[in-house]
Formats: sequence, C-alpha cells, structure tokens
Amino acid sequence: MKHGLLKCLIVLLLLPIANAWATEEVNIYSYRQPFLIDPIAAQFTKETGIEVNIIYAKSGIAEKLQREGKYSPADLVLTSDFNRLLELTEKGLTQKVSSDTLESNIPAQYRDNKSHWYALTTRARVIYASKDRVKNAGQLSYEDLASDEFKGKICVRSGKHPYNISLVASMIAHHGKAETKAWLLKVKDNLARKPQGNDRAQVKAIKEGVCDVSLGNSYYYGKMLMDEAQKPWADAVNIIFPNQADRGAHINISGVVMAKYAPNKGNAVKLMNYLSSAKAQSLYASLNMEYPVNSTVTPSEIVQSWGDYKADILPLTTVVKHQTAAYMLLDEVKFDL
Amino acid sequence: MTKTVSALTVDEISIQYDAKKVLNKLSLEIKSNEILCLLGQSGSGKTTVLKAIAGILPLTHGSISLAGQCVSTTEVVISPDKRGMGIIFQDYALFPHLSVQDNICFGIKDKQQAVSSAAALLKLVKMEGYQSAFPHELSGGQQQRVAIARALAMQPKVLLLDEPFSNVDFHLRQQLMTDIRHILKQQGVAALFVTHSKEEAFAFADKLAFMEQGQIVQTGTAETLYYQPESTALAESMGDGNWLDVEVIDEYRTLSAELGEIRSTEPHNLSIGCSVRQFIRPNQLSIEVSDSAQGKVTEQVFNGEHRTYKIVVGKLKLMVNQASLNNIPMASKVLVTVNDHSAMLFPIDQ
Amino acid sequence: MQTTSPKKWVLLSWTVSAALVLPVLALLMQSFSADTVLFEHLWATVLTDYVINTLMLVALVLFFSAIFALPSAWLIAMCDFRWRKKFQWLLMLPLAMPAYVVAYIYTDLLDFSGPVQRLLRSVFQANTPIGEYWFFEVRNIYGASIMLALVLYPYLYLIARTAFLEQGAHLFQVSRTLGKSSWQSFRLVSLPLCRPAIIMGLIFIGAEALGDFATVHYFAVNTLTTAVYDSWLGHGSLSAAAKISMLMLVGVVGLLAIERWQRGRQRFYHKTSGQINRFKLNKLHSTIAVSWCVLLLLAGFIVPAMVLVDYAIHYFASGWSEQLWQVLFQSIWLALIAAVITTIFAIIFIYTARLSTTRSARLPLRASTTSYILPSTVLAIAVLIPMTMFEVGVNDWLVSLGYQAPGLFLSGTVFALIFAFVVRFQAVANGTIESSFLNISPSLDIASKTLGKTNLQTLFLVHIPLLKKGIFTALLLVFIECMKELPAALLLRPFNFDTLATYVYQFVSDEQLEQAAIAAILIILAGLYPVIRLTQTGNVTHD
Repeated sequence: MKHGLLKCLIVLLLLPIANAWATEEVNIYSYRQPFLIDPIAAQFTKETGIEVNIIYAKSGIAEKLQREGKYSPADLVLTSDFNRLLELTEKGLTQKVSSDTLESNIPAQYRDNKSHWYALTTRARVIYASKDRVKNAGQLSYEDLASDEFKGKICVRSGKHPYNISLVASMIAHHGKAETKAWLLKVKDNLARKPQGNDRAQVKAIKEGVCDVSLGNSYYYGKMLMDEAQKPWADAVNIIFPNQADRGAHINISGVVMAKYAPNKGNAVKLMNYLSSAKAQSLYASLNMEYPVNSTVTPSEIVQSWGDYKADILPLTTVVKHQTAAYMLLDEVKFDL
Repeated sequence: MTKTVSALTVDEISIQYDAKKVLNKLSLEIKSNEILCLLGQSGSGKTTVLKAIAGILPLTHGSISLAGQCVSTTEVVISPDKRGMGIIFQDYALFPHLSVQDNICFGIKDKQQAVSSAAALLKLVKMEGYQSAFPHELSGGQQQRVAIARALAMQPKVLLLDEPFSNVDFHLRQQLMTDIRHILKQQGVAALFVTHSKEEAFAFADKLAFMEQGQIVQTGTAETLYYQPESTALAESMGDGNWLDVEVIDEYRTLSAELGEIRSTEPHNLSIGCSVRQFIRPNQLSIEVSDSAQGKVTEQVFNGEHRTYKIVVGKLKLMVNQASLNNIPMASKVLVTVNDHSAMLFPIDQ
Repeated sequence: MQTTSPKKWVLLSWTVSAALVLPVLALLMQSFSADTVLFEHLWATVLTDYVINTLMLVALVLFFSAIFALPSAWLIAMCDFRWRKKFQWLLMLPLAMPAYVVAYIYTDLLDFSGPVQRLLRSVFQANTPIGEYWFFEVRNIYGASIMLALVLYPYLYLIARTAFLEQGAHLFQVSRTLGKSSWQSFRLVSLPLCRPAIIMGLIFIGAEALGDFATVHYFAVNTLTTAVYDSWLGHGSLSAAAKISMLMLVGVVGLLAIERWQRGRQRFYHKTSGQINRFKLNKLHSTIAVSWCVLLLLAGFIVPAMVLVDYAIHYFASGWSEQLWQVLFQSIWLALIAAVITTIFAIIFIYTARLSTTRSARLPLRASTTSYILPSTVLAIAVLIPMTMFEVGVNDWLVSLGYQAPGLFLSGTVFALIFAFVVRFQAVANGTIESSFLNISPSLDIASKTLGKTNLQTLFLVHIPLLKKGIFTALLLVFIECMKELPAALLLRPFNFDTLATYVYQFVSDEQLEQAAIAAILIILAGLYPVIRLTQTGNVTHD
C-alpha cells in the first residue's frame, strides 16, 4: 500500500510533465463506458506503443469541445448513440477522415457520406416479453405497445434517454407527428409504472411481475445472460425483434468522430482504423454483445443464437432530423411525469 | 390565619452534584411580604438554593413548601410551571425574539386581559410606552424592569431574584433597587434575593441570611449581621474592621496591649483571663490630635461624608472612619479611643 | 485610524470574488441570449410540473430533515440519557454518505426482489406476484426526499445542537416559571430562538436538495434540474438551461429575502449564562430517546454501510483494483486543496468586511456565496465559459508572438476541478467562519492596532488563533462536500482522472453499485474522520 501511494504521488506530480513528453499519444472524449473502451485501448497501446488518454462522461462532451475550441486536446469522440454522433458533426466540431481501411471495414450505410462520422457497432431496440405471460410475442411491433391488451403491462426507462428519443424520432419519421403523439399517449397510458431505471431494470421488473413487456437494447439480453445475478431476469423473457412483418426493427449505432482540432491526427486515424479492425470489432462483439459493423466479424455466439433479424432501412440521418420533435412530443405528453 | 403560614419554608435540604455535596441540610423561611437576601461568596451554593426552590434541581434530602403546600421532597417535585413563583436572572433572560409586550404576556392565560395587564405592569415598573420595543433595544436597567413586570404578571407567591442588579449600571442601580423593593412591598410579594454584594443586600432586603459552604451561617437583619456576626468570615465579609488580640478582663471589659481597656455595652460569657480576638469596625473608633499620643496618621482617604484614616499604634495598624469636616493631617500624632459598642469577640482558633 | 490598509484588503477581496463570480455572470449573460422558443415550449408543457415537483422535493427534504435533526439535536443538547455522548457524534455519520449511494441501496433493499419483501413473503407464505399485496413504493418523490434528508440532516443537527447549547438554561427556566410546560417552553422559546441557526441549516440542505441530480434521477423524479439537463443536453440550448438556473437562483434569493423581512426587528441572540442542567430522562423517555437515535443511525448509516460491506465482500474479486488507491489519493488531495483555498478566501472576505463597514467591502462576501445553489453540472459549464475564453485568449496571444500554444492549461487540468469546487463550496466556508468571527469582540481589533500591529499582523496574531475552531469546521465541511461532489467532477476532470465519486457513479448509473462498493466505502471512510472531528470541535466549550 505504501508503495502504491508513493507511486500515485509521483504519477500525480509528473502527470502534466509526462503529458508533455509523451509524443505518441491519442486523446479520447468518450460517452461510452470504461469497461468496454479500456480493454480495447490497452490492446491498441500494446500493439502500437501509442498511449491512449481518455475522459469518460455521460453528458456534456459536445459543450466542452465547443468551449475548448481550437486548443482542445481531444482527438476522437466515441458515442454510444447516433444522435450525439450527428450533434457533434452538425455543430462543426468534427473533421473529415479519409482512410481506405475505414472504408473497406465499414459498409457505406454505416458511415457518413462526407466521411465525418463512422459507426462502430449496431444494436436493435427490441421488445422484451415475459415468457410466461405474453403468448405469440413473435409478431409484436412498436405500434402494438399502444394496444389495449398491454394496459398496465409496459415498463420502460425515461423517455428522454437517447435510446428512446431515437425510437420516437423514427416513429415520427414513419408515421408523422400527430400519429406518434397519439401512440405515445397510449403507451404512456399502458405503463405499469412511471419511467425509471435502465433497460436491464425493466427486464428485472418483468421477472418480478411488475409488467409483461419492456423496451431495451438488444445487447443487454446477452449481457444479462452472462451475469450470474441477472441471468434469471433474462431467462424470464423472450427477446423480440419488432416489426419483422413490415419495416423491421429500429436500430441505433455507436460510433466515432475525429475532433476538428485534433492535435494527434495521425495517431487518431490509426486508432480509428484499429477500432474498425476485426480484432477490436470482435472485442465489441464479445464484451458488449453488439453487432459489429465490420462484415468479416461475426456476432458472439449468444447473439447469433437469437437469429437474424430485419432492420429498419430508413437512414439514421433521416431519423435524427426528428429528434427535436421527439423531445417536444415527450414533453407534451408528459411521458416521464 | 395567614400570619402563621410562611410564604416559603425550606427544610433541611441537601443537594448533590455527582459526588459533591453542594447544599447540606439547609433550612430557611420567608414570611409573607418579606424580602430575604441570601448573601454569600460565589461557590457558596446560593444559586443552587434558588434552583432547588424553583424546582429545577432535585433534592437528595429535605423538603420545600410554598405557602404551606409542599412542592419538593426527595420523591415528589412539582414542576416549575405549577409552583407559582417568578424568577429573575442576572442576564434578565428576556426572550430576545419577543417584544416587551409579548414577553410580559408570555405567561398570562387570559389573552383578552393580557394587554391591559401588561399596560398596568409596565406602568408599575415605569416602562410605559415600551410595549413594542425589543429587548436588545433597551438598557440593562430597563430590561430588568421588564423582567420584573413579566414575573409579576403571574402573580407569584414568591419571587426569586438571582443577582438581579449586578449587570445594571451603577448609577441606575440604587433607583432600580428602591423601585423594585417598593413594587414588591406594594404587591405583597415575598422574595428570595441572591447576591454577593452586601451593599445590595443592605439596600434591598428585610432580612439577610449569610451562606458558606452550602450552609446558612447566620440569619438576621443587616444590622445584626454587621454588628453581631457569629463568625470571623461573616464579620469580614460584611465590611472593613480591625482585628485586635485582647485578653478578657471581666464580662464587660477586654484589654488590648495598644489601646488599653475596651468596654462593651453588652456582657459576654467568655471566661476571664483567656486570650481572644476582638473585631472593631472603623466607625467604632475615634481619633483626636494629641502630641503626646502613640498613634500616627500614615494614610488618609477622603470619602465624602467621612474620611478613612490609617493609624499606626506600635505594631498595630488601625482603620478609622471619622466625619470629614474635621481634617486631621497626615503624620499627625493622634490618640485612638474606642466608642461605646457591643463587643465582637471570637476565640482565637476560629 | 488606518485608511490605506483596508483599501488593499477591499481590493484583494474584490479581485478574488470577481474570479469566483465570473462563472455565474457568464451564465447570466447566457440566460439573456434569446431562446424563447424552447423556453415557451417547456413553459407550455412540463415546466409547471417540474416547478411543483421541485418545490415539493425541497419542502419535503426540509421537512424530513427537520424531523430527523431537531428532536435529536434537542435531546442531545438538553437531556441526559444513556449513550448520549456517543450519539452526539454518531448522529453525524450519515453526512459521510453520498445520497445516491443510499438511494441505490434502499431501492435494492425494498423493491420486490429485495430482501425485505422476500422476507415478508416468506413470513406470510405469500407466493403472490407483485400487486397482490401492498408495499410502499420507494422510487417516488417521498422516497427521494427521505433519502436526501437522511444524509443531509446532520447539517441541521450540528447547527441546531450548538444553538440549543448556546441558549443557556435561563430562558427555558423562566418560561417554566411562567407556567409553561416543558413542551410548550420548547415550542415557544427554545425553538424560535434557534430560528437563525435552523434557517441556516435549512438553506444548506435546501441548496443541496435543489442541486441534486443523481438521486432524483435515480428515483425518476423530474425537477427543475431535469429541465436544466433536458434543455441543455436534449435541446442543446445552454441559454435555456441558464435561464432556468437563474430562475432557481432568483427563487432562493427571494425566499431568503422574505425570511429576513419577516424577522423584522427581532433578535435571537441572547448573551447568556445559566449552566444547562440536562433533564434526566426517566426510563421510558430514555428508552424512547435511545430508540430514536438508534433508528436514525441505522437508517442513515449502519444499514447502508452494512450493505456496502456485504457488496464489497461478495464482489471483491471484480470490484477491487489497484487503481483505487490512486483514485482515493487523488480525491483526498483534491478535496484538501479545495478546502484550504476556500477557507483562505473566506477569511479574506470576512476580514475585509470587518475592517471596513462600507457596503462595497461586504459585497465580495455576499457575492461569492451565490453559486452554491446552482445545479453543479450547470456550474461546471459556467466555470468552463470564462476559463476557456481566457485560455483561448492567452493561446492566441502567445501564438501571435511566435511561441508554441500551451493548450488548455486551466480547463484541461485539475485546476478546473479545484476552481469549480471552490466556487461551489465558498458559501459553506463563508457561513461557518463568519459566525465564529462575530464572536470576537471588535475591541480586540482596536487593542491590537493601538499596540502597533497592522491589519495583517492583527489577523494572524489575534483573529486566526481565536478562529481556529471555525476554520477547522469550515475545512472539514468543505472537505466532506468535495469528496462527495459528483456532476462537476464528472465534467471537468482531466484525462485519465477519476475521483472516488465519479468512479462510484459510473457504476451506480449503470445500476451496478455492487462493483463499486469498495470505492463507496472509501468515500465514507475518508469522510468519517472529518465528520467525527466536526462534532468534537463543536464541543470544546460546552462539554
């Protein structure tokens, strides 16, 4: 312990100096969580010798970047959803990245046609339905959540969470504002309890009998199955990809952009390439149960066991245009209140 | 009938803090409409007596009765709010968050009567027009007047006063004491008054009880305590005086080496021939200029009405008070004579 | 007497407080820039609900805090019962608990699959699904209020206990002789006399409740803080966020003004003697008093702490990492520095106000207090606005001179964090030290100066020795606050930098506190020593 403290002291005192010395480095602002990014970054450093410095934040990265302006130390920003990816691009905080590796690793629909943003993984917004209490769940659609049969039987996290905003935005894109508002009102009416907790907490609620169906991202199912404490929750539900009969399930992406004033551009491109490489992509797949964008990498075995699904092909760039409208609708129907 | 019942009777009470005995079988009595002063140095236990009477401290022995009704024993303690006594503290203890009027009305049950009672009480304590003032806006003397009014509003049987004048400016103190004494007499309230200042005791009380180490040493009028103290400590604390080593000649006379024979107006019952200490107040001595005399003026202080002289006679240093009109200059040779008085004699070992 | 010297102090105070006020000013500017569309939208939809929720939350937190703190403070100060001296400091322990940790633990304990309900079901052999029997819901505004009150009440307890002691016994005794029962005397005299102290405690608590995000978010209670986050993060409108923050600020300032006005000419200070003879409670009352204290202690500290220890043991393998030592060290180091700076600033402000009674000399003291009630995420951004502007200016200037740009030498380093902590908790230090300054007689200042000492010498030779207790209390309070502070730390920390709070929150926000139990325990342990010392410094004169 003494040794550890001493080391901390030295590290801390030398931190600013060390930063000045280490020429081979790349700086990341990350919305994504450390448990996922740290192992990939460590692997990258091991292979290239380039140090990776990371700031994790749940919110406010765009604002911070904007404030820092041209002297910002950030090279890359990692996001966990598409809204934020596009927000950064639209605020002019990003720059174009041309890389053959990226273009060959990432299919065209998963990258910006102006080469500002690149998706790294995809995931579907699925419906979790109780194995015991929901029969013939296979044909469920998002629209079905508004039907009377689910009165008092739906659990969901805050409507304001980016994942839900994105879903509502896609509803607006398909049905228009008025219809979406009616849908939201019905869904709200069907809620078993006030929106709360995260996606996993909803599955737990189904297991406990609080409700019968919930919305959640696909990878949580896999992660719950791998967690000893949470496996019973996952075992109580079926994962259902909605709208398979029509437009397909709403998907979202996680991605990466390069900051406009990235000081370590070369290293940043290297890291971006690495993130799209088979090695990193399979880490994404195995650590977080997401669908890799790199077509040479297959999803984890668990994820594969859920079978293929049909994804909504409406471009996310179109969906995201309705984001503000989605926010306002959620306020109007007082979804969280 | 009422004459036989005293306002307050304290019967052999003892109080213990932790293992320390603060009061030891102390008794006292106050007749109705009497003001008794409990006089003593700090630490003598006088405030403890007050707290015991107020019902704030439990007794370990004895009992306390108010107007014939027992309020405290070792088993039963009637709580302070049901005893019908008022209390006045040195720090006035006015409620700082309430106006003068609200302070006075604080304990009055009949809210409709309260305002007119308050007005009457304020008039009584000469504080008309201060109804809406707050305590911090008043002088010390004014605050104490309000505190008296507040206590009187409850029509207490006994008023307890804990060093009530010691925070009041000197020039206001005399007037305040006179006024409050007058009010108490007029209202027919008995009072127990605690102080360490004999001047206040003399001016305010009907009767004094001198306390030492948790016990009452002597009770009596101011005069008795001043001229006939029963202990050397009491003699000294009641005022200045001169100690002489004397020998008893007979039941009226004693012999001092320096002053010769001293005659008492009252007989004493000490055995003839024994050595005792005699205490003589400065005003019980007289001096006159006499060139053949042994005494010599070494110091004099002008005190207004009288002068205080320091006289050396042989090895003896004496303090003498004499009218100031006739000035005896420094270094004068003087003859010291003892005025007629009842002698204060104490055994040597006391 | 000395006209030049106070000027220097005033100048110093103004400079320091200007730096501290800059963030709020920047935010104020932001709030003026028009974003009426969004504001109108919020106004037309959810804002009313948010305002009501916020008022309710603050009112409930204050209510519960008063319920928890005042009887305890009175019991400890005025009564004598078993273990009183131990409870005196034990009751402070919940202060070391971060609210969101307590919230998480109680949700876990009390929800359907938690041990409490499981036990109830097994006792009543009810194999029923949820909804078949009634059990209270934790995750609502009442739950959130109780959780917040459980960890915030020690502020009020600490201040009220001291206030009760300082009243002395005479006023209470007089009230008794004026025919009031003990309870009436408590209600009519003791309690009203503590009003300034109680208000001060409640302001601290109210500000904390108003600025809380983690707990209310976890409990799905939407308050004005939610609106701030929504408008800023959801709609990308800092100006709407700033507007709402300013509204909150105005609201609080308004409430304080009303309180001051309502006090009118009343004073509450009674320079008093009268040694307190603590009421010896009888067996029944003593048992009730002990049970009350035990219950509070169990709920606010022991139960959550035990759960954390349980988590820590079960998840030791995955929860433990060498990195934690570094994080612990960083957190303590940061909190210490912020506490020292805040305290020094407080002394400068208050001493200046003492030296010169002009309005302008008092202003820095008041102005530096304003940021306390800003939600701390907003404060973080507010801190960034002037700081980055300054940095960009310096960078541009150096580049124009042909030097290499030094980059973000402030906002990219721990400086930003420390600055934010200081801005946020200046009010805590100001309040604590100001009250002890008032106890020093002004004649001491004059005596010292007539003895040839300068203002600075007087400060060091006379005031600081006399202020030791107040200074120490301020240091401890700010230290504890900084250890727990979350949102500003999340946003402003430099690369590869964690505090214990950010470390824990990462897991809490993912509903996996179990994995961060060790770090949470470290926060509590680091706060434990200061908390215990806090009660002891409050005792020196009284016990």
